[in-house]
Amino acid sequence: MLYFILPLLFSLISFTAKRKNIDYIILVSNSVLNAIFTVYIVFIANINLKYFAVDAISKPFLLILSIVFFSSSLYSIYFLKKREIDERWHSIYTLCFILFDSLMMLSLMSVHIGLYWVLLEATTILTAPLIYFNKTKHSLEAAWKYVFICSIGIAIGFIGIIFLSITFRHSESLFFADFYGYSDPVSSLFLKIAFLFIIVGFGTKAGLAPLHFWLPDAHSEAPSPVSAMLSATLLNTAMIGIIRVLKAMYIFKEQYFANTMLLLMGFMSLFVSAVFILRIKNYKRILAYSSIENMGIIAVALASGGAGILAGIIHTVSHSLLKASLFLTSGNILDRYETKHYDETGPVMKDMKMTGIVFGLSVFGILAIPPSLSFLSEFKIMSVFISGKNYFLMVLFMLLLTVVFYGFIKMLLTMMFGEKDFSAVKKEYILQILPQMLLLIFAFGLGLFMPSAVKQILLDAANWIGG
Amino acid sequence: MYYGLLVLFALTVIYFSVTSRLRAYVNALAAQGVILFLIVLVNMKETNFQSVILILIETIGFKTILIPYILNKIIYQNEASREIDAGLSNFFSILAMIAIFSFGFILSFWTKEVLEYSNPFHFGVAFSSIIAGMYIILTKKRLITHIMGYMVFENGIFLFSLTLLKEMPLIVNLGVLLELFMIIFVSGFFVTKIKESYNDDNIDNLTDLRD
Amino acid sequence: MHIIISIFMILTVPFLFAGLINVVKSYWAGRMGPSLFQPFYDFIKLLKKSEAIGRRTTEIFSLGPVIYLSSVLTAVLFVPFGFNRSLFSFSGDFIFFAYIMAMGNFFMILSAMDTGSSFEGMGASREAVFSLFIEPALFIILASFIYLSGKTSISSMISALNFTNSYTIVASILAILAFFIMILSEGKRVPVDDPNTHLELTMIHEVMVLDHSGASLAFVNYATYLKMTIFNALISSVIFIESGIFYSIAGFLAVNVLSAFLVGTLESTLARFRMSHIPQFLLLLIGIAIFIISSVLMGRQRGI
Repeated sequence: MLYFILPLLFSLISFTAKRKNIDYIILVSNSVLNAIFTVYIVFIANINLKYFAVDAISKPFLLILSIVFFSSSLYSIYFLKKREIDERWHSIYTLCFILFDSLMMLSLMSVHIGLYWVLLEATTILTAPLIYFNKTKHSLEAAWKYVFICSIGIAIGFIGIIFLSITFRHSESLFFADFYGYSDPVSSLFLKIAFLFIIVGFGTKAGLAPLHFWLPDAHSEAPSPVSAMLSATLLNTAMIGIIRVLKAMYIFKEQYFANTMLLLMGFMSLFVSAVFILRIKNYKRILAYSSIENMGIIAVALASGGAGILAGIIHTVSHSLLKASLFLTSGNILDRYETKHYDETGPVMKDMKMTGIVFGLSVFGILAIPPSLSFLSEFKIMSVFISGKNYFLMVLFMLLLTVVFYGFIKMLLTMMFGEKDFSAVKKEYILQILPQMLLLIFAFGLGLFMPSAVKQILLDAANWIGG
Repeated sequence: MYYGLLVLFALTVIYFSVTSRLRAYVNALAAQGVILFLIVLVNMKETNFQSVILILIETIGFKTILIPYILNKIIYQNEASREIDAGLSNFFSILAMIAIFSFGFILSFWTKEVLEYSNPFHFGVAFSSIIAGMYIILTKKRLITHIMGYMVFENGIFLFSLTLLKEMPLIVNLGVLLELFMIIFVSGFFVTKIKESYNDDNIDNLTDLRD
Repeated sequence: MHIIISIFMILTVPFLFAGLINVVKSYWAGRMGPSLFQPFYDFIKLLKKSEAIGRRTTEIFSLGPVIYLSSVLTAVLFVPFGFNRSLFSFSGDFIFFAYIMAMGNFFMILSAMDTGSSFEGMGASREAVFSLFIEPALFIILASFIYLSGKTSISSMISALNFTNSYTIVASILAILAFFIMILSEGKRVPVDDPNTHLELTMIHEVMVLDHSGASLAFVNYATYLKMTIFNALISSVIFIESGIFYSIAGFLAVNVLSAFLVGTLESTLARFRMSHIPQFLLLLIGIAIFIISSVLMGRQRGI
């Protein structure tokens, strides 16, 4: 736990020093230390404190967080160097970025639902300045919507927590473990109401429809490394709350209701994103809608039970890795052409070869073309549908995915091989490409060959939910 | 006493639809803080000094003094004194509020067998205040009013959490307070910024981002 | 004896109440003001005068004020007017009470429309709209008292109130508040209506009785004063319940004085509401009534 003093210390240094170079050192060293610490707590140590513990479900999430944070920190250095930013905002960015990461880590590890709520809400406040970072009218609007809608969503989640504590009224505590081990009979109605509020409340933050409106705005207006963090890690952090309550639903035999709700929200998210991805031309928004779509897929996977839960966990991993890579790469394209419309960009393949390749690969990955991890998970979901004879859901699922596929390929082709002519090839920095390469290696590498340690972690997580 | 306080709380919520002066909204919020404090006091089973102090800070300190102070400051900075005339007249606002409260009471009356745990009238007021907060957010035009609607929403949740016989753990309580304060602070900052760049804090300005 | 005192009070208290309001108003304005008995003198004066009746009017025009007065006079018999017992009562008489009052209003509206003047029609339509808000509130309040006491006649339901539980106290306080708003609205006082105004567009009640003169006008005025004292009587019977005859009469008079003082003060300090704001003011009555009934319903269930 002492580790968490470190980010605080770093941010304090950044805040007092207000020197750009120190900020870069802080970003790198913090992310490296973060990665080391994560590997330590996941693979070696057995953290089990009163309020915080690394259990089976938080392990995959922690690993994703450290990888994505590492690559976005590297990219942030490029991002900050490229721009003329005054020292104050420079250090605000560094500070918020670091603290944001540690808060998410803490909320992933917290086993007390009240504390989890507090930490999750704190991430909203910390990311608001990051979203506002560009200081344009649009970013202002996006930040306002983000803070406001998420606060309301989280407050709805709090009502859910109140209902949970009514449900488990004799246990006098809000620890998840006490919920799971509750021995008195529980009122099925209250548990259902609690789950309903929690899935809507935390689902707001996780980007599930119908309260997803903030997501495309915030993700498209935030700086690219921040979008990557938001999309790849913050949504997961909110998802883990739903998953932890879902386990209680399994234990008290209410999974039918829970799964129906998850399925409903999942398909709603899929539908919304499929409709919008076809219509819009702003590639960052398309990526944001794709995040909604993927969260929908995860919800559907969790809802289908059995092997579907494993698929959901795998999909979480692959979505985070690939979406982070996509957002970071979109930052390159945005910097080069200064437009968010994919019609107006030049031929990326000609202007920026590496960026083009990375972007193309990430799109292939997110569209579940083998050997990406997404293929594995979506294939598993399909097979669960088939074995459960849910042909209607399967066809619907396929159909919506195909629509998304079409939208993405259209965007990709227009961007890669556009007609517009821009001036000569510009130099690409190593920091512009390296982070995404790292993410892609993980995403495709795990799809091709999964080490037994990683496999065990994923399986443990899946068993933890269903058990 | 207890019933009277609940009714007073409900009346402060309805007051939001009677007037359109922003200062009046802030005063209503401050009054709500005091009423919540009294409700907690009346409900308290055993008086212990520590929890009284905590509740005092939570309700009077934050909800009655600090947050209204910040809100007044924002109002002063934005040079706004009235809610922008929406298409909706106050008459329909009151009608909607009455409908919300009737709905809340009917719901709580209807579920009183299941809710043997709590006082149905209390439940009704709390639940209706939550919905009323949502209603304020949905129908009013100014962003600053949205923040106040959010506060009504939060106060409703606070009242709702009192239906439990046990209290929330200290750490959660403090966390909730801090968050609330920060949210008001951050959104106040954004309101001021939006006012600077749009010359107005009308929600209708914020429609650039959509698909 | 009881009957004689009651009838005496029904005949005198309304005039004194109206006179007292004027005294309070002139006190706030720093004037000498009319005498306390001025409404009574006016009443006598109007009775002596002959009546001018428009050529285009029918019988309804002159019938309106008479029915209005008689309906209010009938209604007052069912209210514990100064005593904790009313002159008449039967179970379920609260419905009769509410509708006999409504009938008087209805005939008054008819008689205003009968003149055929668009001006009076406007006043009539306003009156009709505003009484729309009073009636459901009155019904809900009386219904919650029935629920509390289990009795269905006005005098017995009020005397059966049990003030040992908190929800009854809250319901009673709210009911008193609601009755006071009804005084303002049914008595056509500020802030709903201004009895002194003759500015055409803002009048409600005054415009309705514009064509009435002589005895008709006297009846209408008296009936309106009486209506206000009916609500005063309801208030006082809620407060001074189960006390002896002397205390209940003294209490009734005290309530009259206090409410005259309040009405007069309100009239001196407040301006009339804008016409569009009146419905929302009266809508609050329904809100209060809903709070009363729900607190009563749920409080009784929980026994708190």
